[in-house]
Amino acid sequence: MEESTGNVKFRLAPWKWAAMILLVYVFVAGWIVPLNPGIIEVSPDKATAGEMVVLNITGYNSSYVSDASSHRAWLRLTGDTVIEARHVQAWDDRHLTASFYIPSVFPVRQDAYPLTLVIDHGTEGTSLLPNAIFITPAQEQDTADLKLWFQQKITDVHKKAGIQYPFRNILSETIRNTYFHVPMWFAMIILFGISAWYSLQYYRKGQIDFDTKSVAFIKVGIIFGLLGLVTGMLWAKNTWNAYWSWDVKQNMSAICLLIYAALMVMRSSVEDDMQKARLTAGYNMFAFVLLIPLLFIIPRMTDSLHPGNGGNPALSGEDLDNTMRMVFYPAVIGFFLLGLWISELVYRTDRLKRSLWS
Amino acid sequence: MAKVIYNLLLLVFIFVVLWSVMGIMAGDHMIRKGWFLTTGLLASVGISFLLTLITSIAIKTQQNASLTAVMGLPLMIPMLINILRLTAYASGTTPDNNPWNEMTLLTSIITLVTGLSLWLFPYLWRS
Repeated sequence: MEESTGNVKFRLAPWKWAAMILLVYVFVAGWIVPLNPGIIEVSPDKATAGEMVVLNITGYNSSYVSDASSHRAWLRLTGDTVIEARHVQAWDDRHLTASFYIPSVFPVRQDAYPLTLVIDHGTEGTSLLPNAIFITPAQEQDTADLKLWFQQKITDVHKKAGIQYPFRNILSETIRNTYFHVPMWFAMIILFGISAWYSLQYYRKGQIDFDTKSVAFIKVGIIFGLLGLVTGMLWAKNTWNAYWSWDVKQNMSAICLLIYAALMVMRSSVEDDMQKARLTAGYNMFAFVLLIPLLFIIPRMTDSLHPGNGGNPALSGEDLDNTMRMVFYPAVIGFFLLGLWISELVYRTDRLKRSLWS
Repeated sequence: MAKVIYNLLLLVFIFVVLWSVMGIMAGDHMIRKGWFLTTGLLASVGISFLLTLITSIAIKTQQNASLTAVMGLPLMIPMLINILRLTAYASGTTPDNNPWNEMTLLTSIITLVTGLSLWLFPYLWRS
C-alpha cells in the first residue's frame, strides 16, 4: 500500500480504451448512417394483364423530386424479362406514379404472376420491391404482346454515393439491431466459455480464486444473454409481429439462460464454500458442453424464422454488406471487451467481499 | 458408479415393461421397431447418466429434491427433443427425410454426457 493519497494517477489498460472507442463508434455509426432509399408500398397491388396500370409508389428515405427526369421504372418477371414504364411522374419526395402496359401474354404460364418493381434514379440509386404487384391472366390473349417482355433490359443502373446501410423490405430501420443483438450472443457465448475454462482450472488446481473468476463471468454472461433476448424480442415484434413466437431459437436461448439461472440457484443453497466451488465447477463444465448442441445444432435442424436456421441464410451478402461489416465487427469486439471489463470488476468486488467477510 | 448402473437398468426395465404393456393393451403402433428400440436404449443411457450426475450435485445442497428438477430439466431438453423426433419417426407420424442425422446427434450428445459424467462423478462425489 502506498502512502500517497493526494494525486492518484488515473490509468486504464489500452484494451479498455479500445472497448470504449469501439463502442462509441458503434453507437454513433450504427445510429446516424442513413438507409438506402427503398420502396415501402405500391398501390394497386393487383392488376389484370393486357391493360394499362398506374402504380402509386411510396418511397422511404427517397428524394424523388430532385432530378425528376432521371427516373426509370421496370416491372420484372424474372432476370431480363422486364417491361419498362411508359411514363414516370414524381409528385413529391415520397410519391411517384409510374404507368405500365402489362402485356396480355406471359412467357411462362401461371395462375398469377408476381412482379418485382425496380426504380432507378440518377443520384438516388436503385431500389426494388419484390412481389410489388400480382397480375391475373387476361381473358383475351394477344400473342403479339409476348415480344414486349424482351424489348427492354434493366441497364445503366446507378448507385447512390456516400455511405448507407442496405434497405431490406421487412427489416427497414431495424437492420441496425444487427450491431446490438448479434454481438450480445457472441459475447455471452465467449464469456461462458471463459467461465468454463476457469472451472477447468479450479478442477485442476483447486484454488478458490478460480471459482470466483468463473462465477463473475457467468454473472456477466447471463446479463448479456438477457440483453440479447430482449433485443431479439424487440426485433421479433417488428419483423415477426410478436415478441415471442415460440420459435426454436427463442426457446433454446431461453433454456440456455435457465441452465445458468439454475446454477446460481444451486450456489445459493450450498453453505460450504469449497463444496459450492466444486459443485459449480462440475456443473458449469457440464452445462457449457451441452450448450453447443442446444444453441448451434438443434435450431439448425428445425424450421425456424431466425436467420441461419431451417435453411435461412445468416449474415449473407444481402443482409450484411461491406458497409455494415465496418460497424458489425467493431461491435462484436467492443461488446466482448465490455463484457470482459465488467467481469473483471465483478471478480474484483467478489474477491474483496470474500476477503472482508471470511 | 453402481448408482448409474442401477438407474440405467431401472430405465431400461421401465422402457421394456411400458412398451410391452402398451403393446398388449393398445396394440403396437411402432412401424420401425428397430429405431424405437435403439432410441429407447440410448435414451435410457443418456438420461440415467445425466440425472445421476445432477442428483449427485443436488444431494449436497439443502433443497435437493427441487434442485434436481431445476438443474436437470434444462439440461435434458436437447436430448428430449431428439428422442421425441426419433420416436415420432419410429411411429411413422412424421415424415423425416434424414433420421440418421437425428440419430447421429443423439448418439453424440449421449457420448458427451456419458464421458463428462464418468469424468466428473469421482470429483463431485468427494467431500
